[in-house]
Amino acid sequence: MIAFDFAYSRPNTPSEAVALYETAAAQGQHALYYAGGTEIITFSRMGQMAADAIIDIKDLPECQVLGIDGEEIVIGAAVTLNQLADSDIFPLFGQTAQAIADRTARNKITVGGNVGSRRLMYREMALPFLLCDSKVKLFGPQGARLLPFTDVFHHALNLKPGELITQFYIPRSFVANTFVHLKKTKQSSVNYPLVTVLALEDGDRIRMAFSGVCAFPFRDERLEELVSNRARPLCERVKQVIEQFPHEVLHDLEGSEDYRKFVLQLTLEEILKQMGWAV
Amino acid sequence: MSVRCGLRPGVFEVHVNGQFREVVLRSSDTLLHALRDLGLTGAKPGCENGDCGACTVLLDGVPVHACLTLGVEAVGHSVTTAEGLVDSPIRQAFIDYWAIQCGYCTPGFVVVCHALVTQCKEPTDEQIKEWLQPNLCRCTGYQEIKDAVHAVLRHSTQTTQGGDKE
Repeated sequence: MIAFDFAYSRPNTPSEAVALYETAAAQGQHALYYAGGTEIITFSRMGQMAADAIIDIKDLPECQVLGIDGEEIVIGAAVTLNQLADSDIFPLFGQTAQAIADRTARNKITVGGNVGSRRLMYREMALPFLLCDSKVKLFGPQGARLLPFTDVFHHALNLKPGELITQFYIPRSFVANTFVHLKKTKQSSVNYPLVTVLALEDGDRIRMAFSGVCAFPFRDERLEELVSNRARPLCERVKQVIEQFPHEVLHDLEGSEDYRKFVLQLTLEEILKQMGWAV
Repeated sequence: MSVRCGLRPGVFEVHVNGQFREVVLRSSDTLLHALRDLGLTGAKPGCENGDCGACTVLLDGVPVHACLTLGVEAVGHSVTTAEGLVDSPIRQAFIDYWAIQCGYCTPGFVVVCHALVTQCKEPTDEQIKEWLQPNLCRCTGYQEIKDAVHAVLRHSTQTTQGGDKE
């Protein structure tokens, strides 16, 4: 049971949604945009999250789009992880989505909700957007704006008050690129990641993004240079990556820092072998 | 605005098991408790955290955890609970194959298995595993549940093939 009351609205247009947000804010109320709602319900039930107004964006037509527009793939923020995976529109995104939570939960968890998660640090759906030069369409009090994904996502989503994501745009040119997605968990197949690595071949380089290793998902071009340097043997490249890892590695109940580094090392070796970049 | 619910409880019409039912809802009530308040106790409160699947219902034909869905989210949509599947082949298969032990998880399994056999006509073993994975049976009667699913799928295939011959 959620032990507090809130006003719930399900608007039909982004303008309506933003107006509801601004009205709540003007009254000193805390408003939250809501899509799948799994995180908001879970943490509200535990008393770790509260809101005065919930604005459900599932009925916004822009947020339900999943398709191709010219040279870009368009994914609405309220598209569920299963809708994305089952569509097979871009397997890189589908495989990432399919590794999050369980199938029934993925019928509710949305792409925008996972990327914009406030309480869970993994945000694994951000990984393919970080690798694919994606753009994001926002709608806020000043209207719509289209920005590179990396302009609004640095470890977590940074939006202006009242702004919401309506759509993501990904260049179709990446669809043919070789990729490997590996997620390692402590025990069961459905769990938060000890290590998730998404690797995408891009000419003479491998792009890589990480979740679970640190307290946030990220892409690091310096690590990509190290791992893509075929002049050095595989074990040396991987060793360099571990030694020069740019952020503090998590040390928690899921896994110690040393164990996570060990799993990361094996994961990187496995990825490079699968992609044919071992030699 | 398609749906709005203020700070006070309101009366909403929800389409459940083929009928429109009036229900009094706080906006923060989960669908699980809204259904149980209607006397539909098939959806069970287990973990209430989306981990056990005992509360699984269909929202527009798609399995969801009723504990991770607000009651007001169901307004304008169609809900199916285990009570709405009394005549379904999967329910009979659960009986025929003794896919029941203590029974607490059974309604959730019946709902998710019904969605599986109606939406995936020829699922792979990997797909069956993926669909059933969200539901826990602490009596560990998983094999009988899989047997029930396979029985419905087999019967469905035989019926289709028989139909083709005619």
